[in-house]
Amino acid sequence: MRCDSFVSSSKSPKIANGFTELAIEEGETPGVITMDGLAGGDVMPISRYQYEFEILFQRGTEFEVVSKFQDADGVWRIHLRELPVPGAS
Amino acid sequence: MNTLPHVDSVANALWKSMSADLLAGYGGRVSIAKFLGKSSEEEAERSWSSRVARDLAELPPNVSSTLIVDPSSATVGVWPEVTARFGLGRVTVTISGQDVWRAAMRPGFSAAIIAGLGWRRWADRWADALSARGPQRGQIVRASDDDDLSWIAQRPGEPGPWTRARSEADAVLIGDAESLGTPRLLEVYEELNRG
Repeated sequence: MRCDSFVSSSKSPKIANGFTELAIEEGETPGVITMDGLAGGDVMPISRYQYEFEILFQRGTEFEVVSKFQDADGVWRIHLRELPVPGAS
Repeated sequence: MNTLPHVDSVANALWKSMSADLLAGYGGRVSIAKFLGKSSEEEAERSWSSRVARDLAELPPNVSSTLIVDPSSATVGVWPEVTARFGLGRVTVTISGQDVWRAAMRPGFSAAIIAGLGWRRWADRWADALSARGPQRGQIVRASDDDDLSWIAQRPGEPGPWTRARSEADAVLIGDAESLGTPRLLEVYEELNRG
């Protein structure tokens, strides 16, 4: 799968779960995506919200789905792996 | 917020208490607006408080007009020994000092509070009435984690996170209450209230 916008993620499971708990508007389904990243940028040093421990992935980053299941609480758990850019070192 | 004036002021007081606790827990270095997907803190406050007020307004009228907020813990006293403690996206219902259910704050979360109210007032009569009237509920499962609320009333077809409970019996009761939904739950409540 290819993400055409920036992808924001967090190094902190607590923060990721915090966002997940808030996917409660009509039509939203909560999920936690665990990413094995290669080239995400650590923006924490320049972030206004340092406790988010944010890692940003560039637009156009491609991932493959490793696994996907709904846990006992009804939260989707998805495991993605970033694919290397062809020709990149 | 277009609900009841008392309920609106309760929701506003809960926001102040809940947001102060949450920010203190993160040393102020998170954005509640970002958590809630809103463009400003003001919009986040309006959205959260409206959601809380809307569901508190669904409680039985004699209850919604007498709610008491404990500003030190984002908790509202609903009935003697029944409280609801609010987080950013979850509400925990406590009976006689013990956490019994934790529900996501989706529309209709008042069902968890009404379930606690009914249980405190009528105990087994309440549980039996819900069981007799509720459509089929989902499975009750026990999570293998160290959460004190380890029983889950699953609701296949509804988005999670589903409501957690202290015991299997509590999970059955909340499963029945949620499958009934707030309007029918209130009908059962009023029926027992009339005696």
